Amino acid sequence: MAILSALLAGFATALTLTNLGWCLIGTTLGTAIGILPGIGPALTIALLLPLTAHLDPTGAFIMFAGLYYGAMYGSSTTSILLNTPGETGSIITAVEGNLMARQGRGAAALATAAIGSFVAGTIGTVLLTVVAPLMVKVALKFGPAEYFALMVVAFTTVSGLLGASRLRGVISLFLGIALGLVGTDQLTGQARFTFGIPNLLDGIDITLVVVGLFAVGEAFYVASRHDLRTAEIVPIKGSLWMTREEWARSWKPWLRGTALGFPFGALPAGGTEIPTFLSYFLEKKMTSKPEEFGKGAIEGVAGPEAANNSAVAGVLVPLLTLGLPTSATAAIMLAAFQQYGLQPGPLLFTSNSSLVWGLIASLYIGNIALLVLNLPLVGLWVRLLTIPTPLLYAGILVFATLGVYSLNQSVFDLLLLLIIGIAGYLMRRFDVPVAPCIIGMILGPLAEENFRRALSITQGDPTVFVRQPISAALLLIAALIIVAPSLLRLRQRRIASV
Amino acid sequence: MLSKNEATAEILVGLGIAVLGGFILYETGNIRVAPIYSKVGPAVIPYIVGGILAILGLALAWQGWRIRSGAAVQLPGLDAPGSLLDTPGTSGHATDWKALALIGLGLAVQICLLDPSDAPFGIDTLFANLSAPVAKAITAISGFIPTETIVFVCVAAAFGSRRPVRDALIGLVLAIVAYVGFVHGLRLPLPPGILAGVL
Repeated sequence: MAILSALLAGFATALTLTNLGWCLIGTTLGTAIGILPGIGPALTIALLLPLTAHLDPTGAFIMFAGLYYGAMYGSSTTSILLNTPGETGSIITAVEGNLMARQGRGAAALATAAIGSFVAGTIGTVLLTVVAPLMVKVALKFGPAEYFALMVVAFTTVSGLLGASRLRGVISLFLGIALGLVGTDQLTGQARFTFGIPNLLDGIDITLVVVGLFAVGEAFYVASRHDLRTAEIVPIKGSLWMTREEWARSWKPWLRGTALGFPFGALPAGGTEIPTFLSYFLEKKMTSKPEEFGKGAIEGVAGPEAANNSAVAGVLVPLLTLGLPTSATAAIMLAAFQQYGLQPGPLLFTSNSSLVWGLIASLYIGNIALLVLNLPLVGLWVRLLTIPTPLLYAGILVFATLGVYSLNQSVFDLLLLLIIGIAGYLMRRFDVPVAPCIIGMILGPLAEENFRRALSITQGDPTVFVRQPISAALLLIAALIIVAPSLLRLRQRRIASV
Repeated sequence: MLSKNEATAEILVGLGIAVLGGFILYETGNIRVAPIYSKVGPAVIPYIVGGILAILGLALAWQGWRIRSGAAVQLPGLDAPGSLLDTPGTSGHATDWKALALIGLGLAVQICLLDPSDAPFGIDTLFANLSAPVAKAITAISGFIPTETIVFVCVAAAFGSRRPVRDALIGLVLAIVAYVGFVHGLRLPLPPGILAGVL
């Protein structure tokens, strides 16, 4: 019962007045940014980083985690009422949910999304509570070779599973790794890719890259496309109290979505999008009313919304126990840990146990707060959607540049921001996903460090990565992930030609 | 289905990435590696990253070339154009260059005028050598509050706003609130410009 006592101690931390306050700020802010198009959790945490540098880390992380959870709740509202997903995890909700709203069943869609998010968020947090300590035991056995192999697995999965082409995902990943190389080499102190510019010696700040890609690049992109600028808000109709039939059709998708979401978040398998797609297709197969899919089926909202919230809980497992981010938001949270001089990983559970368990306990509280914020109070939030797009994006860019300037009080950073913003625009324009770039940038230096540590332990013998069983198994998994899609395609072609 | 123009763009993007990879390889050659680190020193990973980027860029260009010449079709992904999950970002939409230029203009003005003494590309020395009346005019619109108001108006205009006066007022209020909040609330310094000592 070590977990239970640790969790109780965590509640003692989370229930202090200050930390409850941070939890409320995080969940409220998270709901707001989830609802507002053009600003997401990764961007918001990046902009908050300079402001939270002097805060107590426990409070800051309670706020960040609440914000991440809250963004998933809030973005479903935008998806349902505006048909523009607030976050990528809600793309599916924008399909069925918006159709429901157009048929006058918007309130039921909002209710099943919010309650499903609560169910999944809470079960996901329970799973996090149970799984994290087990992962810590595994992680304690990891040396540099295993960490390197694990990061290779993360690289293969975050870049390649979804999108117009796997090639573009891998390109994005390596662009991020290349950005991470700029600056002083951590092991030798040698300057790399600094071109004699002193501002580059400390490397490029991850906040700058996140803001450049997500705020500046996004603003460029949305402005360049007239069809993305205007969207019509469907007013909420119907009762927020779901009918007996709606409950009956929702509860199974919630549970199935939760079951799909958590492992996809927890394994280094790339964030919240994939489980929502899988959940949608699963519900389409399982439903007794397949004719409603594509016309506003409640299952198609309940399942994916549960999946994205439980995936967020899952993402926290590798982040806290291994220091391995599997989404852009997790990557920026890892940067936040580094800002405080904390290294997430198995040792964090012993050296900063009040932070870790306080954070986990606050997630239970945050879920309850979010259910209240997003169901009875949903009418208030909808008013945010009436902010005219020009003012919204102008405001986002002013605060984005302000956040970047206050990192180092340097105009050079604003120049870099513009360059990365243009790169972000080109990536969006040519369908290159942005998240792998962020993950590559934060994981690249860690992977390099572990790679070189592992090799220096063995005096440069590269077989170290395959001689140790855990590392060999991980590298084999990575190889399979790279090869499998091509093999499947080959097989399909063969079947097709017969 | 990708149009011919999109396929050409794909070739160009691929070649651009390949050039970037080549540049990384070239620059890695300039990293001085002490002999004790000769086995796994600071240049190993940059060589690998540069090499892989060059290969990936060429692969993308090759893919574009094959689509362009009709030898291959774009494999439909889950988010292929027209499919259920067609995410914005795919082909077939006109680009509003004026909007892009307006945002770029706003951000460029900010780089030059936020803190003219710190501006890059020798703009700082250019400002320092200006005649007194011109320099005075520039000081009047430099600093955080005027610059951010300009950014706000430019971005709002790029997003189709036709009310620059209203936008300027909202931007000004927002900039003043942010300035006071950051400088006095959070004690993070921002360039005051002409308002030095006033706010």
